[in-house]
Amino acid sequence: MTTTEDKRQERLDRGIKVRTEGLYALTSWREMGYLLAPRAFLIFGLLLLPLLVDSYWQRVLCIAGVYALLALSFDFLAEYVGLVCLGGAFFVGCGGYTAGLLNHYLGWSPFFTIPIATVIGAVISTLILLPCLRLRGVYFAIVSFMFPLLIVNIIIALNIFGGTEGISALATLPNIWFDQYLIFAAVIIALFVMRRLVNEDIGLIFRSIKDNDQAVRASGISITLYKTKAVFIASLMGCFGGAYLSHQYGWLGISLFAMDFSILPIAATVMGGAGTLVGPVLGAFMLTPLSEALRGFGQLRVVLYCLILMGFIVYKPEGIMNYLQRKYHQFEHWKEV
Amino acid sequence: MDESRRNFLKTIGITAIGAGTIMTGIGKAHAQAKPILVGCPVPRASAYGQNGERGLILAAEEINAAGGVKVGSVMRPLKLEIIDTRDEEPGVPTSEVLLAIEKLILQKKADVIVGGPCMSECSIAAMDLYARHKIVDIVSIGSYTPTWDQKVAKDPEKYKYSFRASGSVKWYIKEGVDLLHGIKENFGYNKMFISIDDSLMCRAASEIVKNMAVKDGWQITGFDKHPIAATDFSVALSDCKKSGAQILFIWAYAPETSILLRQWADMEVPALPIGFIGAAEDPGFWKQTKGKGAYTIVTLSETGCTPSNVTPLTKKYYNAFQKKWGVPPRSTGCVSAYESVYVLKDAVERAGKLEANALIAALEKTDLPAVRGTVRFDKNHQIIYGYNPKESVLGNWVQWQDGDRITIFPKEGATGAIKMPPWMKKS
Amino acid sequence: MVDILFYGTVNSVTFALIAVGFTLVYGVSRLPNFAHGAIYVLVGFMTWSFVNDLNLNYLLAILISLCISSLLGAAIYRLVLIRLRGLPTSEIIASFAFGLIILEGLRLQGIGGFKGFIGPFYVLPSFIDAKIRVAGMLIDAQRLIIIGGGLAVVITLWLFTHYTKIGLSLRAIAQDEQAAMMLGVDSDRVAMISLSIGSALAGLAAVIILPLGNVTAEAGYRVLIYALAVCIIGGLGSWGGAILASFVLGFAMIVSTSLFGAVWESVVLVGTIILILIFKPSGLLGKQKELEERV
Repeated sequence: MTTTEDKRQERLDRGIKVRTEGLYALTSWREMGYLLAPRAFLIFGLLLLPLLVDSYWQRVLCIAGVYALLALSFDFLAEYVGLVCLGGAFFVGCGGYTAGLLNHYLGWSPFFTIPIATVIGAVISTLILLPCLRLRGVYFAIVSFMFPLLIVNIIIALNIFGGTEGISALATLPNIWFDQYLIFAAVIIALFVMRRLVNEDIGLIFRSIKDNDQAVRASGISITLYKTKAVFIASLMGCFGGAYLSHQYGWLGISLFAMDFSILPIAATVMGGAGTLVGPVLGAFMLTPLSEALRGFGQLRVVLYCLILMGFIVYKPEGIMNYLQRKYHQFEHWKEV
Repeated sequence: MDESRRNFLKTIGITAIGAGTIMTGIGKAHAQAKPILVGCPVPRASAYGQNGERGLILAAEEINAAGGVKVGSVMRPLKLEIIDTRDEEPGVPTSEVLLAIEKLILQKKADVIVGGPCMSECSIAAMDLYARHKIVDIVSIGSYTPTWDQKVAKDPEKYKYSFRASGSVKWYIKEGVDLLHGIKENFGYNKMFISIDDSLMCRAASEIVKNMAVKDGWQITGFDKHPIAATDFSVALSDCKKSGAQILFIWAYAPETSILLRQWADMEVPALPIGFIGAAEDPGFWKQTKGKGAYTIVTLSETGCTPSNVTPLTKKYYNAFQKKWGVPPRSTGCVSAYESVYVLKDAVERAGKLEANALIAALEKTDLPAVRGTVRFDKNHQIIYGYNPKESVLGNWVQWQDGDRITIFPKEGATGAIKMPPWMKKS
Repeated sequence: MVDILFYGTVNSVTFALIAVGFTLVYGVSRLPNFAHGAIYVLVGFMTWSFVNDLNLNYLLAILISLCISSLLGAAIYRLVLIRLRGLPTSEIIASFAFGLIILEGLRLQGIGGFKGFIGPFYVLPSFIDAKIRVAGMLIDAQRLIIIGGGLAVVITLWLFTHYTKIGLSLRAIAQDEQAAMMLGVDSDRVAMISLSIGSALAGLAAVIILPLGNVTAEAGYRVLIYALAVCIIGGLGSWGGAILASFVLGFAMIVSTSLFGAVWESVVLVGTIILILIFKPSGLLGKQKELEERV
């Protein structure tokens, strides 16, 4: 009997992983399959999912899609730029209100309001967050947590945009299938664009801002400019989610700034695997239905998903996706020391 | 209050909690006919929701015990499908509430919807959902906003599926002003201080009250708005005291309003508190304020929350509720939720089927003697409130006297007269 | 004018009481305890429950709840945060999740006959139910107790951190963790102690402040936000700053309430935070580590 102290786990990349990293990926179907299988599984899985469930669960999946976008944006900001944003609801609110107001006052169709609100909402939220971009770590987290509250209070205080009752009877999207595939398409596109983005030059700068912003500065790169860009990109996703949400139910109100939009994506990210981008998406697609299934239990479900969250963060901080990726790419075995 | 005593200690430190099952349906197994599935969206964590739920369950049990609902020639039992909508909880988006309602419609295949959600914001947003799914709903817990019937009026064809059996704030304001008028006549008061929760609804409503009161000859000596979670009202109360007001008109739904009333008693403010005070509606209010809430006048919105004799059914309902749940009906929601199940039964029996258009036609013709008076809907599908129990349903203003809620207005239901606190008695 | 002064002071001391526990923990061990508000509320409910369900003496009830809350603080550290030190994001998320479990757990219904603490029924009794008339206004004893309690807490803490061994080691870790560890101060132990003191302080704030109002689970979120606000404005971890910030905020809120109406209260709160962070990112009195942590 040897105790764990006498052994260590050795991990080696699988040969196929190494081969598929270069041009060799094109050499055989097996290599290409190795690369494509997980991606295809994800895409086709998402596209087929709505066909397998009833129309109520399709609604749940729509909401899960919104949370997936938020989780993706959280993961990007936290893991690639170093800005821990606890205010996902802020993006949802900005996008949702912009889209809803354009529809309500100008009568534009959702096909225009959603893309416009995505961009304008993102511009607005970036501008509002701009003064805080100098902050880091805990400070940025706390301030971003407070922004949704501030906006809600201002809306109530000034009694604008429908005040506490919000505005209802906005135009809705044509049908549930459109709803469903619109958000899924958005999730898939956002996911692959982000994956590409973080490996481009700009992604490199983002990551170095996270690791050592002084060094970035010393290289003559404005960190504020790049943080602004990053926040803009992240808020595009959140604002799209918000705009979509306000048209899905034809309603807008201060609960678009609700804390659930900030908390659940974080839980999804922790559970799915921070830093993997795809993990948070999967996490959102697991947590949202789970939380919905627990609806009958009232408060218990918040307690349960907090327990899951804490369990993951304490005992399995790498999350599901990091674990799976490791298993997929590497051999593991125990070695005597 | 005793119901809220619970064995808290048992649960301290329990982090892993076994799943508890909750009652989601109360259909009786013995009934052969296919039950009528009534979807009930209810915010379980709010007092209004809980009491509405109790009203719904009580009515459904009574109806099932009496054989059920006669649809055509078949007696079909009622089955309630109660779902937690979580509105009125902090941090819950409206989409979540709407999702719960869609679950009732799409997955549970509810025949009709009766109940919440309570929050006006949510119930207004839900109307579009009912229109889209072409399902009849009777709003019967909370949701007092005038926007509701305005919305129906704007597009009666689209929103014909929605009925509201709970009150409209418009009527409650009229009641309030009439009550104030009576006080002016009887006590010779004419100065009023207004204190409200700072929410859109309270602001708009108190503005109307203010204008109507001014027209009636009242002098407004001050106006205080406090944010919804405020716990210190001393500034406003001392203003009120200084201003020489004789009436403290309150419009507030935050639970913290009970603090306002305690501080009112502590500071011996010589102005009688009257108004829409969510916290003071509760039967536990007396104990909670340790009797300091005495003399507060508050509306329970619905006849039947106190044992009066407005209709033969009023006391019967009160006693049945008390017997079933061990507490008296609280306020808003208890009676209207209870009644709306009967309204539904009545309409289904007259329509002879559950098809939406037939049911709507039958509901529009409702003329049902019930607990609050006689249930009728106006052309905007809003239940008609009034002072005549033969033609309309009645409100219920009570004053806290010696630990009990004594109905003092409208006079058809009155079981006592207004009393004044000792520091306000003229020497 | 007199009432603005008086209620402003009461309000400020309330802020200080709420924030002092949070700032102590952060100042010593750099742990943002987002479960702070939850502990505050939990102590309120526990005390209520001890008094009303077990018919304990009020003071005894308070004492027991405070002990439980400090054990809970230690437990948060031992079970959760110890594994996450140095990962600020994870610390925030985990402690916030812990707080949510407490807050939402308090509102659970239908499990083991437990009906959840919902509604306005939970009121802690005042220590002394009396009123004093000063300069034409009635002042209730509870408010004086808040002021007195606040003062006592601050003085005790000062004495504790300057004259006891544990207190000194807390300050040592706060000032220079490496050096303190070389001198034999156990960082983990100190962090645990700071969390348990911080939690007890949250509880103490609860039992002093709550008799003015009632205990609701929702208050937990607000308390957390207040604590954060005070600490950011004062400078995270700076105790003097926290007290100064309490007064700035306390008076800003009371003054804005009487000038513009109470609806602006929270706008003032968050607005102040944002302004401070833009113009003086280290807070009013925060001095160290500006470069490393903030900009």
